[in-house]
Amino acid sequence: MSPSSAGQAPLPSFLVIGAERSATRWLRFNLDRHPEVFSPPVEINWFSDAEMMRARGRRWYQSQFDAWEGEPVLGESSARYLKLASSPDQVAARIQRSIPDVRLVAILRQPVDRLESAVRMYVKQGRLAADVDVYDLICRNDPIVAELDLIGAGLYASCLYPFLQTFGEQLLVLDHADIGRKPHEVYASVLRHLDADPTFVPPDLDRVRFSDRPTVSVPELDDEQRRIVYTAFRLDVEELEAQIGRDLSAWDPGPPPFDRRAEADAVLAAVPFTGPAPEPGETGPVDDDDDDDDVVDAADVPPITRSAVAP
Amino acid sequence: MAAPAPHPTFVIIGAERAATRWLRFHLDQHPDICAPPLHLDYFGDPERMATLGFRWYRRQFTTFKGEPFVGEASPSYMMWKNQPAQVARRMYKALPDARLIAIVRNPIDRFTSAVRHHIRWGRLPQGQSLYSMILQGGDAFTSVDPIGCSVMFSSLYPFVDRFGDQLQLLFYDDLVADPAAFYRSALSHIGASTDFVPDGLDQRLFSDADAVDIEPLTELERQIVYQFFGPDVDLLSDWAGRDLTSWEPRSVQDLGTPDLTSVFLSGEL
Repeated sequence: MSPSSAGQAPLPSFLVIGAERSATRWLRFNLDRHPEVFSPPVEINWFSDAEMMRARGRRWYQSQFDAWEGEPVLGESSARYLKLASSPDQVAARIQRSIPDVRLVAILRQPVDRLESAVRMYVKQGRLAADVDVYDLICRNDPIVAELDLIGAGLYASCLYPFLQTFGEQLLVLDHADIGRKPHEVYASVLRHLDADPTFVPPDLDRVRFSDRPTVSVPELDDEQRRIVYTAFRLDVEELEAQIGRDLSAWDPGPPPFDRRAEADAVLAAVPFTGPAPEPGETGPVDDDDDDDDVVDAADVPPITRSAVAP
Repeated sequence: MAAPAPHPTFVIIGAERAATRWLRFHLDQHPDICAPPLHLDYFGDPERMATLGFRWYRRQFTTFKGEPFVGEASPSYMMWKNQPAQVARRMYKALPDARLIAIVRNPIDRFTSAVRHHIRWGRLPQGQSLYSMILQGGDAFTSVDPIGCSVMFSSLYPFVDRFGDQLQLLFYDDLVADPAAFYRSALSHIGASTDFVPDGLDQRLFSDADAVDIEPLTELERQIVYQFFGPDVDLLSDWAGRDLTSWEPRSVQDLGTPDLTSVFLSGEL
């Protein structure tokens, strides 16, 4: 592949789709250092923003790659593609329409860790106060939790599902923990997925970049709070294990304490719906009891006395 | 590409902890089937129905691409505490042509699995024996209702009453014995071609067994607890024409059924 006559880059051959706060920038930065790869240092968040797509058009998107010098592998990293708030089903459909043979990479991180890292980021950006009690925000289902997609962005199975359905083997899923443990292996696996020379190793690959930890200090969740907050993600992680065929039991901090189950219930109430919200005029009572007479009530069928269950 | 919001053509209604998610997950692999991981729990929850509406329910299938078979799995539909007669009535009104699948399982095994599951979610306490939990009861135990959810035939009968032959009864034992045959029979009930075999049918999914240690019931305790389920299992056995004596604790098989019903009714247990 070489620069086209117009000098404009072709559409990307790969996208890093997220998750937010999961070392996507580490990956993009190091991919761009590879001689066969070009990946500009901007989060374009293009396919997640229908309005921007309409207003600016595809030429503008392609102009983001103007510094391209003919590298055979070209791509960008936008962590919003995988966020629940971006409606990943629509993001996946838009990507498929534009670049059906694209290679995708997703990095997934223990969802409570991801949430805490996102909180530090939003504190740094001034969208959350420095002394924010995120546990209290979640238990109260404060509107800011949904606004910042603090839980939704960690519902990976729901967010990945449309990408897996649409792109199958074109999607490579990585565990964030592996980047810390064996960055070289992870890096090489991405290169193989993108058809770039997997033997290239940039210097200082294992240096952690783009962490907010050194600069922002925010109260952290204690162990019990982590267990309780994980309740928001437990069902989704179980689905994820089946979807990607990987054992993620290392993510499980353990059951929430039984005597704090009311808080776990409150956390569950803050979990957003993963599908479209109801539209105006769509709601309303639909369950009128007009034809109850011809129903055989289950209680009439078996001679069993369930009242005995509760003492 | 986007297709209009579908009417589900099949629903897996339960039982909880009886491989409903295993089945849904593998059905979704079939090229003619759309069965996303939605956990809608719609027809069991009149409040949800009222506030969200049937259009909302149908629009949740966002990845639907026109597959001929669309479905969901919500084990809550077959839970006694949700009044299955009402659930069946609401579902029949909305989806009169749907094919239903109910998976039933040895009720004591199902009960044990459910308790483990609820411990993992923090809804039941850790470190107690199964039997002491039953004896103590309490609000937490009653609200997750691991006993009632094991009374399976009574909970699925209203669906039989409404849907007739549209409901297929599957046995968890058959899944354990031959997952591929179990999968094929579900496919044929749904109407999909039975020549598709997904990968990994023999792998366990969604199990809590390794994550939670719990003291199992003793043989005598099994015998006592089985009293909750025996009459329901007998009805199921008659209706399905299937010998289910293998579900009985060995002591019941050897010694016959003790008359413990009066003990339960007196509330002394």
